[in-house]
Amino acid sequence: MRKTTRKSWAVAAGVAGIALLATACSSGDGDSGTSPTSGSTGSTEKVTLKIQTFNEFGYKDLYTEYMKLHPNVTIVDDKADKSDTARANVQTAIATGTVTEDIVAADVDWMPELVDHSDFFADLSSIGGDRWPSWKTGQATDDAGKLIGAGTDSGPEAVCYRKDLFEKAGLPTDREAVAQLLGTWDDYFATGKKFIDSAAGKAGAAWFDSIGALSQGMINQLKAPFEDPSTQKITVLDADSPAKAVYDQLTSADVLAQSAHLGQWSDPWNKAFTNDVKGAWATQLCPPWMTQIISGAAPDQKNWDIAPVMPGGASNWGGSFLLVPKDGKHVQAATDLVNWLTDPAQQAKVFVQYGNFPSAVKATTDATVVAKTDTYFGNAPSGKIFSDRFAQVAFQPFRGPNYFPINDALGKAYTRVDVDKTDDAASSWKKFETDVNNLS
Amino acid sequence: MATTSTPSAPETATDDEVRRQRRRVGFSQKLGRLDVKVSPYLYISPFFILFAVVGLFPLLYTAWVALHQWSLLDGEGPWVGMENFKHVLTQQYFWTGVRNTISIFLLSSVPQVIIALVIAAVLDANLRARTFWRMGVLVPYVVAPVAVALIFRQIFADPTGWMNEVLGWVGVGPVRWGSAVLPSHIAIATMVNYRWTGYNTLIFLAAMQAIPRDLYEAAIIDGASRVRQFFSVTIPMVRPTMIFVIITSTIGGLQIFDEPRMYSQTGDGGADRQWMTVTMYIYELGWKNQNFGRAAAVAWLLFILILIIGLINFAFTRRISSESTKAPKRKKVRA
Amino acid sequence: MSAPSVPAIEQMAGRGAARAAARKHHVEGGSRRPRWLTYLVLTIVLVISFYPLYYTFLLSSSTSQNIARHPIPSLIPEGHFFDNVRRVFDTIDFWGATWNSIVVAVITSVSVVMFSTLAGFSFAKLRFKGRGPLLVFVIATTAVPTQLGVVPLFLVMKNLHWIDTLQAIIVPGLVTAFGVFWMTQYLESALPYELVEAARVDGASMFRTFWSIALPAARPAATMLGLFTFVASWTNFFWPSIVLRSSHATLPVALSLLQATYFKDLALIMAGVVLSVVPLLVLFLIAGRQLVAGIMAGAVKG
Repeated sequence: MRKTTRKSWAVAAGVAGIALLATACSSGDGDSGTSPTSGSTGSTEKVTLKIQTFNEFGYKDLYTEYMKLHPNVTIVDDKADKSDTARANVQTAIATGTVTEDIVAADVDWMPELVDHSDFFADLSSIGGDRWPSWKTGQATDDAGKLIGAGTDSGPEAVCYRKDLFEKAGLPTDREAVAQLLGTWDDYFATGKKFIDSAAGKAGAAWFDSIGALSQGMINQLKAPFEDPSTQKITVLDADSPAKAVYDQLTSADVLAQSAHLGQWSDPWNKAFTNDVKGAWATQLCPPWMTQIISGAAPDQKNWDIAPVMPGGASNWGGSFLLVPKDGKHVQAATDLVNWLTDPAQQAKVFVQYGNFPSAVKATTDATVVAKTDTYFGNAPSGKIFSDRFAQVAFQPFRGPNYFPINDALGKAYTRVDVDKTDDAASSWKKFETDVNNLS
Repeated sequence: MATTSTPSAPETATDDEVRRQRRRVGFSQKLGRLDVKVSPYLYISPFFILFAVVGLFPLLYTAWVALHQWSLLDGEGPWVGMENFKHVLTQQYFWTGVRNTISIFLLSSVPQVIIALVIAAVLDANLRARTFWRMGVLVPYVVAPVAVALIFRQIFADPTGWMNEVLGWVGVGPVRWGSAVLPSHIAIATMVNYRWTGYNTLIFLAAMQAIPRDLYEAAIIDGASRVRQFFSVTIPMVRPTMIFVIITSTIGGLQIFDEPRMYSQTGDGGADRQWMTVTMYIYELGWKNQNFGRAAAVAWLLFILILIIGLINFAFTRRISSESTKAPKRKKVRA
Repeated sequence: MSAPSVPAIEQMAGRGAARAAARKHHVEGGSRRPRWLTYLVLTIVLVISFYPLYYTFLLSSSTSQNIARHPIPSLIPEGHFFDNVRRVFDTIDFWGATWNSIVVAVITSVSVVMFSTLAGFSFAKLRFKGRGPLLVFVIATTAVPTQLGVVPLFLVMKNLHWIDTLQAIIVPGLVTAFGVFWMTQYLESALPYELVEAARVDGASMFRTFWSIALPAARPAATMLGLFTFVASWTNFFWPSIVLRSSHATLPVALSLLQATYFKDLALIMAGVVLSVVPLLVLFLIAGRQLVAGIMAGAVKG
């Protein structure tokens, strides 16, 4: 008995030793091992490019296509599960000066901190900034004029609505007619009140999902919601802050009565898309990527449609960029790939297949894009609608280095009042103030 | 074993005598003594070497960071001494985090240890299909915390989820698992208990299996019921194991991170920080707000808190589990 | 070595040795069979243990729509299981991640058991200067929160060029304080000092003593430690998610990618969970009997 025990220990130790050796020898693959080639184009030299995206950029087929066009390039798809995870990865990389990806994707909300550390990234001006509208490139350019991010998608907002609930409430269901009803925020809330007082409202339907969701749309219509563009000082807590005005309006009793009290992205919100009347809501602020979420969450719901309108004028919510860390091994090859992926032709392809709306101007007016209709949304001409909305976007709110945490804290403030109901408007704002004060 | 031809000393030959009898002295003797003196340190060194790199260095580095103004992306700023600590200690959120952490810890550790003891006692008996029962309790441990969180999020979904449906059958209104403080703690504690109770059960079981049966037989002869046996024989005999389990679950429980983080989609511990634990607060300060200095300060405070609570637990457990039977002293091999 | 009777051992070597010998002679069975109440309690416990896993399987056999509509699924699975499994394989590199997890878990468990038993033997049975404080220090190290160490550890890994390699996961886990504490605690009571001293008297070196006496004595606890370490390594998420990228991901990191699309496809995610549990359940089936036998056998085999 003893002998076998000792033998088995020896065997185990041996196995572990060999395995450890094997691991040490086999790791380190994944990069081509050639010397840094940041200067040369090296068209026939074998290159492996790692690219980190998040959520769904719709690039799978594009990678295959690019690899066919450039047989010497291997693309490794390093998806992160959410924007927050990707953000943490990029932050860790900058903090420790490590480059683990040749290309990283970044969400516009956290671009400011990356622009602040533009030294870490390569200059992408060679791609030509006029591919995008100035409000898009503005989000990826540092003070010295260096462009570090190539715009991928954008989020021009329209209003998705439930035809059946509108009908039940005695409201028009035709797209253009609905657009007439919701031109301004006052119109929006007035129609909302009508809805709540109607049969649909009485049956348990709400007008919108949460005030946090509305806040996103409204904040994106302000020029300087949180910080002063010239000094970057935090202004959101000032008495005349436009963000506070929005907050006061949204947390008023009238508006709260129209809410379904479901926090965006939460489990109950996801599930509630399958509700018929009770627990459902009639309107949803819709950037193009939201349409995919709705159709994914409730594939059997046949009653959604898209109205070509955004209360308060044009608004853009979201949109991402591709960046190239300057110290990567294959900066030129990476830049070439970024150039190709964000080319209007490719952006159009992505929209048609996946629904991510382009940010390159030529792509937004591309024939295939404009012609796209969406069967889920009652054959609405989604391409045309979003293209028109995109053209109307004139500016984006100023995003300073604290935009992301402030926006996040503001979202929490709304959730406390609307969803969790742990606070009233005043006490929730007080907590928001503490959060903001902690940022400095 | 003496190999010389000189007459061997009587039965109780000591090391010294044996060595004296050997003609060869010097190197092998020195080696022998060296072996005994150095070996202990050699054998424990792998752990300490690894720890120096993987544990001590981060610990000291973080202490250094905590004393500076330090942004995650920008790196080291000016020295600020205890400023970070002072700031953090006056923050409402820090104390909310402590409250949440201790609440979840108590809701999880206490039931866990008790249930684990009881189930282990039940499993200790002479059962049919022993393997099946004993491995069965370990099944929850196999499921990754991330997965457990996903599963229990479905179970505790609010307003409509498995738990609320079932509660509805007995007339209890939908509990706000996703937004109220105590319900969220109960849900998270349930997740933790689900995963770790089986594990602790097996640990206790191993200890119980080592208890000599004649102690139980003596107790039965004295007329003790099974319950009485449990309290008078089992518990005192597994005292060292109890201490072990309570210490490890205290330390683990106060650092709980994965479960509360995965409890909601946004992973932030609730808009009003209803279930944000201290470790989550560290992550938020460091990665969301990028204030690495303050995050490091909170981390050190947590470390100190764990040490304090660990010591309290240790003293407490020794007191309540000490009984009439004193464990005999274990002798050690002398150098 | 023929075994003298227990009282004789007590005479010669003290009560500790007598107790050890009594354990050796421990006869399984013979005590009264437990009543039906015991089995009932156990059944309830096991149902509670298994149901969430079965619930996961039910969810993974369904579709997201149905899950939203019916919080409590029927007990019969709906039959979409293999569809969802196929989609898991399409979405992530399941086999690659599984292989990575296996490599990491195997190396880590073997290493932890070896080094912990070595250290445990020293702390439990050898007397050396600083033993007490060092042991307390070991335990105190478990109080260091992981989040604390992430950035400095990442820096260490970066300087070793180990970012996105499996070594970055394996090396920090080669020996754990928990393992050392566990083996110390076990060997303290399970290894009678008399056996160790006997070996020393016979002239064995320290290592020989460890190899021939301590290791066999430690087997039950070592098996348990090995199993626990394997499972812990298999399910470890936080640190791997920071230092690994999807090319070298372990299974939990790869599975988190199932949530990556715009909407949460619960059925798909649950299918991933079921798949990740299967290898461990297989391990249980193989190693389960060993483990239980180990627990039952007691300390030293004659």
